[in-house]
Amino acid sequence: MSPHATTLRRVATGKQEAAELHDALSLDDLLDAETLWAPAKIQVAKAFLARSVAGEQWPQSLHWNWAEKARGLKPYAPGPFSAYRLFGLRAEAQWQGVLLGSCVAHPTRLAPGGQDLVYIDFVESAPWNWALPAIGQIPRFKGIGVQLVELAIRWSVDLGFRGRLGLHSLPQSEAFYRGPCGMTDLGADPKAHALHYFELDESQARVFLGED
Amino acid sequence: MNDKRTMTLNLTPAEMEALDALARKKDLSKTAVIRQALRLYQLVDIRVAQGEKLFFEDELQKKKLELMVLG
Amino acid sequence: MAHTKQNPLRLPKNRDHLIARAIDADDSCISVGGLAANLGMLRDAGRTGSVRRAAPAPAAPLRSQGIEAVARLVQLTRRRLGVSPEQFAAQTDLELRELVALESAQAAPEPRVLYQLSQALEVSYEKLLTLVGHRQRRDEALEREALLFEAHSGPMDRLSKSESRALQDFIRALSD
Repeated sequence: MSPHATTLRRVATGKQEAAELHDALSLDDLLDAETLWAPAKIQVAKAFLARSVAGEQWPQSLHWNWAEKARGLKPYAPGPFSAYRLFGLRAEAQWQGVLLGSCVAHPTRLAPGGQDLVYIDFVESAPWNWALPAIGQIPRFKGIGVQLVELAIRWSVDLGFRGRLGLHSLPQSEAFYRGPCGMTDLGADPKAHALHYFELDESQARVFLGED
Repeated sequence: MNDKRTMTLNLTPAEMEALDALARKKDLSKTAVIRQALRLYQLVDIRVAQGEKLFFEDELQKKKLELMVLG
Repeated sequence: MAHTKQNPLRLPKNRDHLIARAIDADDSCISVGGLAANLGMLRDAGRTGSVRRAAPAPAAPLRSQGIEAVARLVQLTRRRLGVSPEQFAAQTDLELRELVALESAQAAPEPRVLYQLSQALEVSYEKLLTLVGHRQRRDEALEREALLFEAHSGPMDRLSKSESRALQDFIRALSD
C-alpha cells in the first residue's frame, strides 16, 4: 500500500485531523473494514427499530452482508493485471471509507461512445460517518466521499481514460454524485434495478480535480 | 514499484494496424490497449477457472452464444 | 487471498482545494449499487421493481404496500410483546439481520423468513407469500386489509387502542 497524507474534518469540533489515502488495498482489507463496520451497522439498525422509523428512511445499504458474499468477491481481487482496484481512507487507525473500481468492459454511454471508463462498483463510508437525523446521529468525519472519488478519477487518468468514471447510485446518494461530484445523471437503468446511472466525462473530471 | 521493464513485441503489419485502430477508437495509447487486453484475459481466466462461463448475448434476438475459452 | 501490489497513483503535493471541497461536501450518503447488484444483494420489490419506492410501475405499489404491511405487522407485534429486537428474533427463530431487513421493508422478505414468521404469529404462510409478491395470484381482500392496517398504525412506542384493533384485524385476515 502507498499511503498519501490527507485530512478529514471532525464534525464535532470542526477541526481538520490527519488521515491517509490508500490506493492499493487487498480484498482482506475490504473484509476487515466490513468486519469493523458490522457492529456499528447493527447499532444503527437497533436505533432505527427502537424508534420505529419508516423503511424508506433507513440507509439503503444497511442490510448488505459482505461476509456472506465473501466467496463471490474472489474475482475482484486486485493485482497488476486485475480489472479491479481498491482504495481506502484511514483515520484513527480505522478504515473510514472504501471504494472498489473496475476498468475493463465499461465503455462510456456518453456520445460519441466506446471509450473506457473506471466504473465504481462499491463505495461506502463507515456507519459512524453517516448523518442520520432520524436517530439523532451526526457524522464523525466529513471529507471521505469526495476524496475516494478523487482517487478513482486519478486511476482513470493513470489508465489513459482521462478521468472518465461511471456508477449506479443508490437513490439516497444521487444528490452527492449530481452535486459535489458534478456527474451527469443519465437516468434510471432498467438493466440495473432501475438505479440511476451517472458518468463523469473528461471535462467534468478536470473541473473536479481543479485543473480547469 | 515504479521501475518498469521493457519487452519487445513482434507484430505483423496487419496486427499492428489492428492495434493502431483499437488505440484510435478507444483513445488510448497502444501500450494502454495491450494492458487492457491483458486485464480482460486475466479476468476471463479467473472466472472460467471458478467454473463460470462467458457468453455473448443478442438481446434483440434473445440468443446467448457461449464463448469457448481454452487453457 | 494473496495480494500483489499495484503501481502507486501520483497525487499532487498540494491538494488543499480538493480537501476543502471534500470536507464541505454533504457526503453522508455515497453508496452505489454495482457490486451489490452483481452479487445478488439488491433484491427487487418485484420483477419490474426498483430499489427506490417512489414512482413505481402500476403493479409495484401493491407489492411494496404488502411489504410495508408485513414490516408494520412485525413492528407492532414486537411492541405489543414488549420485547427487544434480539428477543423477538430468538422467539421467531430468525437471525437479527433478517429481522432488521424485515422491519426495514426495503425488499420482499425471503420465503424462509416468511415461513418462520407465519409459524411464530400463527398466520397463513401462503397469504404472507401473496402479500409480498412471491405468488402471482392476487388477493384483493387481503390487499384491502393491508391498506387499512397501514392506515391505522403509526410509529408510537405503546400500541393505541385503534392500533391494537388494527393489528388483531390484520392477523385475523392473515389466518386461514
